[in-house]
Amino acid sequence: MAEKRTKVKKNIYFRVGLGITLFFVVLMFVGLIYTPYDPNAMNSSEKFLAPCLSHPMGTDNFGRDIFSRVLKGISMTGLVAVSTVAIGGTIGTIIGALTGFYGGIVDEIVMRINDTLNGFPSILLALVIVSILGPGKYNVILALGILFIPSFARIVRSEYINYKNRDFVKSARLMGAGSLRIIFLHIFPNILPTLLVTITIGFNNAVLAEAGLSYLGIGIQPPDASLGSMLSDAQSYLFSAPWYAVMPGMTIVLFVLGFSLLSEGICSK
Amino acid sequence: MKYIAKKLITLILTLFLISVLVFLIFQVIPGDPVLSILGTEATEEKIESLREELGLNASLPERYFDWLSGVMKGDLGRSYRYKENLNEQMAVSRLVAGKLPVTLTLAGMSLLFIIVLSIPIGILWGGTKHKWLDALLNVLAQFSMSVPSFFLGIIVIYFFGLIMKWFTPGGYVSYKEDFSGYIQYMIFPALTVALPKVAMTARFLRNSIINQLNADYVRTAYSKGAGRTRVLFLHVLKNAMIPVVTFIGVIAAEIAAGSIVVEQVFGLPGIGRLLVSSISTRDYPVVQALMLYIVSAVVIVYFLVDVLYRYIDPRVEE
Amino acid sequence: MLEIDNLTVEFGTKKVLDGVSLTAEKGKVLGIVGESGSGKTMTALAVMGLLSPDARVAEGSSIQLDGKELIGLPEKKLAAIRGNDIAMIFQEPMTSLNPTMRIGRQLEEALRLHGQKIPSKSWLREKVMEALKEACLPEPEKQYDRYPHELSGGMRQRVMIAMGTICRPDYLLCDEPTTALDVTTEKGILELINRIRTEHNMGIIFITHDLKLLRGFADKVAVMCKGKVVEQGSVEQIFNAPVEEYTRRLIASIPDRQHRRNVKAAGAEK
Repeated sequence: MAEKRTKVKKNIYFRVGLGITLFFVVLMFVGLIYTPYDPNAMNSSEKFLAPCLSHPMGTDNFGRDIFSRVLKGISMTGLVAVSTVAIGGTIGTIIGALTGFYGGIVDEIVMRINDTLNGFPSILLALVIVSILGPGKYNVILALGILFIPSFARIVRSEYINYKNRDFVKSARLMGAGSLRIIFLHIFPNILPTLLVTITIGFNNAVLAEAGLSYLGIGIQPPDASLGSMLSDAQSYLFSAPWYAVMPGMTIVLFVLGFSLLSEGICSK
Repeated sequence: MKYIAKKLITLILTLFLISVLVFLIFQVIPGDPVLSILGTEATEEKIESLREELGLNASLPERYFDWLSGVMKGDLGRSYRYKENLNEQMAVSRLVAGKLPVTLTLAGMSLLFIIVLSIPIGILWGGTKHKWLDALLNVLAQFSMSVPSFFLGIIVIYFFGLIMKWFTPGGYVSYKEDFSGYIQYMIFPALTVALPKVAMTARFLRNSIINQLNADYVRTAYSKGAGRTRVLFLHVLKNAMIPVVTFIGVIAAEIAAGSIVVEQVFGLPGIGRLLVSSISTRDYPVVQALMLYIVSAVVIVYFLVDVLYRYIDPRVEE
Repeated sequence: MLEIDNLTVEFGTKKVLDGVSLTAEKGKVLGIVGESGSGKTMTALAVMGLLSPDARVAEGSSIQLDGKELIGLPEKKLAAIRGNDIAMIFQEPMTSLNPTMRIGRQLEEALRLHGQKIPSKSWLREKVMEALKEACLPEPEKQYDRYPHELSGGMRQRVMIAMGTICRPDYLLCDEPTTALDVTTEKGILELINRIRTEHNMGIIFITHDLKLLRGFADKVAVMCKGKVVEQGSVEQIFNAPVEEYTRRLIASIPDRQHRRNVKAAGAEK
């Protein structure tokens, strides 16, 4: 009975999470092709308009339409998140699969490095990489992509260690399948559920990290719109135009909430 | 004692490795430090003499040991950006020493809030039989974990600073001038750092308690005639706290390393803010020193957690 | 007398106990035998009032201790009975003790919980030491300050027995107390339980899947299968003239030629 009840509850998590995430995916594509106003067009006669019909999220200190900028920001954040998870996920999965499957001394060394990196505050690692590469959206993608490699590698590795001695792998080997074939064709489909959860958590972290770096002024650089840098600009006008901070801020919260509910929902499925 | 000695040796080895890594990272950085200091219009001679002075002509291992012995003596090099006076660059160690107390106070207060708040909440959450309370706390936790610290900081500033006027946003007094004022300015930043971590820790403790409540020894305690409260506080809590200590340790390491973002939001002159500004201005000696501090802080806190573990879990072998 | 009458327990729609009726007497050993999942542990937990919250005790079930009904008793009153009037020891000595509490403290707790006047700390320690000695725990002085993980499985089970009997309960429920132990240790534990029973006139309910343990030990044996008591009788009756097919199979599974012959003979007589 109790089990059933938590299942139902988790299912609600999954649905709400999926709903929010899909909503943001739609917004992301919309932001790529259409915004109600030019997100960078300044208009000195329309500074600091409160949310109204023509500007649903109000305008900022340059009279720019916040809704248009938030849309652009969602696209940018989504783009960064997808790219970083793709980079970190692909490289991390390959490293994890090979080290987990073959083991040995290389595995030992790679995992020691991994453990060390995992112990560090993630924002710091991102800062270090950005400090070497310099700010800008491509460098942020690269930095966060590198940052995500260890977590993917660790999780995929433990899955491969788990599966490599299973009977179906042995029988595939007996039928003459080579190691690479076993790694990618036989074992890989089995780890997909775990990978899916890791990817969802990865998106969650990517959104937070991008927003954080941009807030600090070392992430996405103007004129590119970004939710994080909007917040940092908005902070100076907090008293006169609180909506300027609330709109991008709540957008980030919802974005992240969607992913975290989704991952919690998938976990229990 | 053997256990602690073993951990201590690991700590020293790790610190050594870290120092090598931090040194090497800043060797591969593009850009010549000499040009950074002198500017691109410097003469050939001047460049050469500064290269010699900075020891840049020596071999890599030599330079490393030079640097390390400097670090041991507290010499972390000189900032590119900050000047002590007209013709002398500021020593990094002095620069960092001025900012460190702020970061450490913030970390200490945040940790205090985390412990004081998360443990009672976690116990209430794990021990409750009420479904609605469990659901309510779950929603609250889920939400607080989704709010990024910079937005949370802005909300705190808006609500408590601008509306309630409990503190002046952007204001700060040095602990040297007015200690109680200094602490007051730290309360809200510390709460901002703490809130998401309180949610995480409380949830972790709740899961740990629920796990332990299913253990065999709990049944034994009940069969002795112990009541629910007694079982929870006398038997379960200590066992449930063991993994939580490690968890809090990880969090402590994270906040001792600097709540970079929160310092930025509240405009506190700590090392996080110094790090961000040094990265934007490519003041590499400062970045290097801060990295060394942050990473060392992380491993030292982990070491302390290991030692503490030894005392709360009797099963840890000598 | 501890009387279980028509005890029925359900999980959702599934009946895990179905009309179980048993009687245990002071100074006697009642053996309950059955395969895992037959409901023997569930019966003991029901007596202790320690069923999980999902379990529902059906109407018409009754468990009486010397004429006092236990089912439906408020938690506080049940807690006062547990450990004091009825105690229980469990199958897994490795996990049944609190890993972060010293042995002495765990035994003391049983005394503290049952309202006896505790004149002094040294009295408490003396009582605990007495119980440990009675349970034949080697070097009790040393074990007093130790943690469970520092003891062997057999020693831990002795600690459990000392803890179960320290308040001199009328009944002791033993749920497969020797299953996790090796044969030599098993013998020692059985002797200990038997000795404590005669010394304090304690009623024992001994749960096991191993029928041969009950020979020369139990006064009465109940055979359980799928939540029901299928056969009840004296040890001799069960061994020499089992009525139920299930019981016969249980006896047949004992790897002992003598017993097997007995079973065959019993079957041939019919």
